[in-house]
Amino acid sequence: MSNPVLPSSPTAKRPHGPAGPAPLRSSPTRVVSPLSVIRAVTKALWVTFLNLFRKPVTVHYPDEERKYPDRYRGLLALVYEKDTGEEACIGCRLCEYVCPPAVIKVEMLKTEKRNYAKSFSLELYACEFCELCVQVCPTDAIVMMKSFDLATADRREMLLDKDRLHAIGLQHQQSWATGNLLRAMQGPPKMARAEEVHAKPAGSQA
Amino acid sequence: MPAWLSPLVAPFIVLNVVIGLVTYVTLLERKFAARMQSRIGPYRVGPHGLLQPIADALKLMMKEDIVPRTADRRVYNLAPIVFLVPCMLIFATIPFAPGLGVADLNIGILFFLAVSSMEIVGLFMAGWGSNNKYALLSAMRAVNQIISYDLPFIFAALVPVLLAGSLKLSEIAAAQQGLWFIFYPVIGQLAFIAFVVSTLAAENRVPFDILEAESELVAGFRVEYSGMKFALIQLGEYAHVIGSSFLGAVLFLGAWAGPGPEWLGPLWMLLKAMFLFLLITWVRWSFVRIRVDQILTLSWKVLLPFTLLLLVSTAFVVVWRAGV
Repeated sequence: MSNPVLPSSPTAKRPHGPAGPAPLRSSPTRVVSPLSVIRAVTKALWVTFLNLFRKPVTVHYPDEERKYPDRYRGLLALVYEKDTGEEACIGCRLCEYVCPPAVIKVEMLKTEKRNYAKSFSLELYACEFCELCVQVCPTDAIVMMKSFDLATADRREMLLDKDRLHAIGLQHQQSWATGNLLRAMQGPPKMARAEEVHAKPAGSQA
Repeated sequence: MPAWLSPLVAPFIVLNVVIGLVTYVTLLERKFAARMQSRIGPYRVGPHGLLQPIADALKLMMKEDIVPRTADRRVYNLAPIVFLVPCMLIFATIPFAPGLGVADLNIGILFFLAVSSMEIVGLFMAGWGSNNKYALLSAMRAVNQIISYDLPFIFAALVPVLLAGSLKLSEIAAAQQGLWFIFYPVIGQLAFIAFVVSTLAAENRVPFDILEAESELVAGFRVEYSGMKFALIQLGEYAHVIGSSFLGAVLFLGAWAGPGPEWLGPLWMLLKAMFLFLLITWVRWSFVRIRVDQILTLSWKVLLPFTLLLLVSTAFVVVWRAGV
């Protein structure tokens, strides 16, 4: 009886009774009352029966535009300033620094009045749509669009340059979020901040 | 028409009608299942997806026919046909209207029950010939299950036989022109439930679908099949389900009985069979798969004694009523 795992070896004599291998699976010990089974069965059938008369939730996608939520995180785009019509991006490269997958590359073009982005490239195929670039943008230049039409047969088409980003901005509807709106949300409420200032006397800062 | 040709006409028509019906029943099932899940199902091919079955058939015909290198070629290639033939044969004895059927045998229901359980041969051949562990496991489960559920299935189907006093399907149908057997007090309803449950199990439909349990066995015994062979197996499965639905309509729902002129009979028959089919589909989308041991427990410890008792008590009722 060197190896109990192989009871069929010729030397091993298999005793009957408790020494034999345990039965694989005894019949279920939990007794289920037939009434509860019937109740469960009718309940399950009732659920699917009710579903039969509900309106399908399907949206016929290409024929029918789905309704986007206000804060949809979709395609990224660059926008123009509303009042002057100039490019809103000042090439400050904050989005480049904050981008976790590092898909944004910006070069700054310095001019006398204000700065511009000399080039702005966004590798959309690696973008994770975290919206951090939108959150940090000081001039609300980079925003997200209410669209997910990203499909393309060629991956290179998803390397977006400045012109493409501006074109996308004109093509789709803009999502609610912009940098300034988001930052206003993230700080403590104005009242609380005012109270904080009042609570601390000017001399105690040390 | 030559004399040898005339007996072949009716089977030819029925065969083609059945194949067409099966093709479109897949669409019916998909639409119905979709509505149960708040979807709309096939919609793109043709108006409301009406051409979807044809597109599916064309696609399957164009697929490459793959035979696994280690498969037992002869068994593997023969299995879909062996599987399909009994599934088509069961339509032979079904009367679609008075005098409208291929062969109204005087042992019609016995023929149906005997032939319908012969599909297991083809099923096991498919599982064995594929030389695939999933397919083999699935085939063994299927044999196990179908043997277990054939007895309750037969006992449940024999209750209307006792009530009508005939094994001939057309006479069973004719006996229900007054009162459908499903409305026969107590016995009728119980027998119908037993019939539906054992049909579900005999067809390997959810919740008794352990032989094609996707999460365990990929696709069961047909995992190695592709192209037209796969289509034949699917055709056989659906034909079997529809054949059982027709049998249920004949045995319990009064076959062609219904309001309207007599020529509407086949339509009523079809409607009742489709009702039964949708009932089976409804059950399919309402339950989860149950365990192997639970399936066997349900068969041997619950359904078998229950249907046997039902059969015996039906016999007593029939004798008692004949005596009165």
